[in-house]
Amino acid sequence: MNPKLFLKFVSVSFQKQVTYRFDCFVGIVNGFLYVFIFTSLWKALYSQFDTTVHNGYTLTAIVSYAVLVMAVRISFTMDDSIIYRKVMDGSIAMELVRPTSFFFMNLAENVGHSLFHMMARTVPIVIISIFLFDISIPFEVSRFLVFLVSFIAGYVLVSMLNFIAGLLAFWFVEIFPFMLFKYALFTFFAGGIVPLDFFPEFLDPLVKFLPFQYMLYFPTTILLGRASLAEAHSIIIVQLIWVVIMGSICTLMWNAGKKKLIIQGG
Amino acid sequence: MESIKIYFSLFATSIKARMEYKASFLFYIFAILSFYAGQFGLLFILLNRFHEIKGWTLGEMIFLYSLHAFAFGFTNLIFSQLVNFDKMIVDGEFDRVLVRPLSPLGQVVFSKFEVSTAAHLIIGSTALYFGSHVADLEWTVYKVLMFPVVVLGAVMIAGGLRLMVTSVAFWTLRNRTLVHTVIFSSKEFINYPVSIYNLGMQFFLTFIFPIAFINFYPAHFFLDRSGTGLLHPALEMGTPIAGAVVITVSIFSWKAGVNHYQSTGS
Repeated sequence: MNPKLFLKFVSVSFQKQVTYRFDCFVGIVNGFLYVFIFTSLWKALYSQFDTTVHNGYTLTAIVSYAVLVMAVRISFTMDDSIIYRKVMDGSIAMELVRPTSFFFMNLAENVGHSLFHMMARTVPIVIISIFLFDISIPFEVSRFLVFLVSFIAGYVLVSMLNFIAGLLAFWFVEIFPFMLFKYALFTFFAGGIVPLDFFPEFLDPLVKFLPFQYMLYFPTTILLGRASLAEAHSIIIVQLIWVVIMGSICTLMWNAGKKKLIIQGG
Repeated sequence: MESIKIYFSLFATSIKARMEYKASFLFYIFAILSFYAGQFGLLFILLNRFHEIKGWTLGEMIFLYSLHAFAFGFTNLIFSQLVNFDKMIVDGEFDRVLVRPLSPLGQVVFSKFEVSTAAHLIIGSTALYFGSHVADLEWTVYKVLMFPVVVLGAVMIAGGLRLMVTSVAFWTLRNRTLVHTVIFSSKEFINYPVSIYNLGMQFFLTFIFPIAFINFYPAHFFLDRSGTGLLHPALEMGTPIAGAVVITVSIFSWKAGVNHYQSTGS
């Protein structure tokens, strides 16, 4: 897809979000509420022990994790019902006529949506958290750049996950249960609440086999300085492998979905 | 009497509509159960590592959860339509409600059957059974009699708050994020004992936005926990009173909203 066109889609989708200012304010409160709950939880848990380090995390480290993982997660906000709505009202047929790739157009739409939430919600929440909580984030340019790559790879993975879940609308009348199931898996396995270091060993094979940890957990740990730069590089390579795998699934499903659409007569 | 019959037939129709897609109905229940399995999983992981949360052991935490699940399940059964109420206003569908010779509130409340109720009642009962068992809860006759009273009070709190936040749509039209924050994100607060939060927040969750009465305070009564750590020991019996206050205020706010309402003209 032509980058200029891609940016155009991004900016249109960004502007759509700007219209709802009241929602945006509530969104900050909403995101901060989660940060508040989980930092309170960790503080309560840590206060019960004399030991200061649990599973490799000091209290400062775990509170920082709680803040940053939520920051990354909110930056990943996208509307995962776009495809479903397009299939339901039939406007998906238009996508077949357009000379642009549907996947990239969808990605552009997601990026615009997320960029808005990043600026309007992530930034204020992180600033408030820095003042309110004892957190430490290492500021090194090289680390931040590596994080940025990992963050973008994680973003593409989440976008692909939503794309795959959304395309299920071709085969199922209602996809809300799938969305809920996806959300459940994501919340648990991506480390969105409890970092994977706390997971019991018997879950290891499952955690390692699934792509979710590459969406939130690894980008966050890179930013926190928990992974060395060398480790970060190998993490990014695995992320890219997952991008290829999930990208192939997207393509296969989109092609199969198109066929299905033609059979129905659009 | 006649109107009650009409409400029931409205309700029965919505159940029939939902049951049209049986496979999707079952998968929906499965998805909700998986979502809660994930939440319980994280709780197990944390308690496995930290043994208790502010003096609440595994059994007690599960019991806390069960009260919450019951309240949320019944609230969803009765007040589910309120989640998308702003859409009713924006689309002008509320005009149709107003011209009928039935109470607008009754019509909105009974117009949709929420299948998630079944899932929540399954979770609530299972958690009640295991929670009581693991926490060695002694079920006296008094406690058995109080249980439905507490659940009713909790439903009035959760439903009343939902109705209040819904009424805001009469003034702001679109208030989706606010509704979601109040209904879903705030749930996260009472997944944990309210005592993990700072005093200001405990006060807020008791007197301003009284969701601590849904499970935290009554759990003290059922589990025979000493109420000395609470803001006031008498609060553990406060659920029915809080419920009555919240539902009364919410009905007034709804009526004020209906009076203020002017059609969007769409």
